[in-house]
Amino acid sequence: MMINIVRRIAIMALTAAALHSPLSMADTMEQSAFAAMGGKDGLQKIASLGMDNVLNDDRIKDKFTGANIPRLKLLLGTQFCALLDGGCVYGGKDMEAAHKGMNLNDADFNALAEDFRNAMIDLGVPNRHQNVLLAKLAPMEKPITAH
Amino acid sequence: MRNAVLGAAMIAAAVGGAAPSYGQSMFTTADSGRLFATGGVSNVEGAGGGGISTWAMITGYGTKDSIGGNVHGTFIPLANFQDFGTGVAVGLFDRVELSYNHNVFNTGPTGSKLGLGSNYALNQDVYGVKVRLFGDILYDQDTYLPEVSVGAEYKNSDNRALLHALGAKSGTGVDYYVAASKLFLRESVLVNATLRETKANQIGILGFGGPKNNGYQTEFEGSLAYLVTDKFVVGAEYRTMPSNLGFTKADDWKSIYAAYVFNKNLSLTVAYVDLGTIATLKNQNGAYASVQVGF
Ligand code: HEM
Repeated sequence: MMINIVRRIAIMALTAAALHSPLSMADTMEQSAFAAMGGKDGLQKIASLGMDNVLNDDRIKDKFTGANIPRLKLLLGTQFCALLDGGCVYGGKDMEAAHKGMNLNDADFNALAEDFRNAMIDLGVPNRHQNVLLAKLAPMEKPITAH
Repeated sequence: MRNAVLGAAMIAAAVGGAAPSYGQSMFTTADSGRLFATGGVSNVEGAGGGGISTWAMITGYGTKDSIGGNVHGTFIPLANFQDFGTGVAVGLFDRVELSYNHNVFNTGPTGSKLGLGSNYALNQDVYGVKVRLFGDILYDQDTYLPEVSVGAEYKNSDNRALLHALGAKSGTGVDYYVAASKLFLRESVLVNATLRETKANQIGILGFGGPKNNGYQTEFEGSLAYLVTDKFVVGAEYRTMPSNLGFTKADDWKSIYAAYVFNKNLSLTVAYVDLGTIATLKNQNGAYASVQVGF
């Protein structure tokens, strides 16, 4: 009985480990999302369209007065690619430093996330893949709204 | 019945009329609030949750800097009974939820069979408070920590003489619960588990306590939902019930549901519910339709 349970748990643990291991054949959810979004170029498009949405969004567009938009679009594209394990290295500031002194709140954060989600919807990214990227962005609320 | 509809419309009008004034004050309404329908919908007791289960999230689209709220109307036609619920709920700064719900449980033609008279109705008021202790349903994607809330519901049912005749020990009762909710956004899955201390017979519509048991019992509410899109959620729920009364048993409640969020002001939930045996009548299955108007 006991041995049986131990054996079952061991099999379950090994299966779980195999599913999470980079050696396994199955793509991770990040890799699948990266592919579904059209790789590095696709993510650059999402970053670009998302930023255009932000600049048309009355709730938050004023925050970007004087920003270097082409540079920001490039940094966002690289950042998304890095977040989805697409082989990019994000070279910008960390999120807390990048937004220091902007006094951003949760409504600002959610508005921006919504604008990027709408970009993904408009570019035809399936919902389950959208959520993989949004799940990477969500924990950035803390550093971004810290000051 | 007509009064209840009218009542809901009036509450909706009153709340709608009051909303702009909030915008003028120091805090904002939830117009730019949350990203997903993370407040859930209004459940049978008026709290933020699914159809029959209670979730940890504070209702509405308010963020921690704003308030949000909603009114709802819910219609549950079962095999032998029908329930009509109306209520209002407010979420304050994503910390506190206050709710009020009125249930009219109509026995329809079954009333005559039970010797009560046709369309005999049992009325119930539920006043709820929920406080979020910790965790954020959306932002906490880098930890397994759920969002956790505690709540209390004061329930008051009329028709005391009938409830006592049925064996219920009281027409009023207080439920206490702790709810944990976790959104696995990467997987598009939402999981909820709630433990409730209660004496309520059929959530209190048949009173509280009874000959078989008159103490608090720990009951479980669980739900699992899949986010099909940012506006469309499908899920299943399970809720255990105490069986305190002598003349009838009570079964666990089950539901499968779909909720569609048209926009941040309007959502519709439809479900198939199986409430088991109610007042000796078996197989109380039926539909569940709920409209929620938010602000
Ligand atoms: C998930 C959410 C967000 C992400 C991933 C993000 C990402 C970034 C990145 C990568 C940069 C460039 C950092 C650098 O200069 O090295 C940046 C800068 C900036 N972000 Fe964000 N950000 C987010 C939310 C927000 C929000 C909510 C606002 C305001 C409403 C905002 C406003 C800005 C501004 C104004 C800059 C400076 C641009 C410039 O000076 O050229 N960000 N952000």
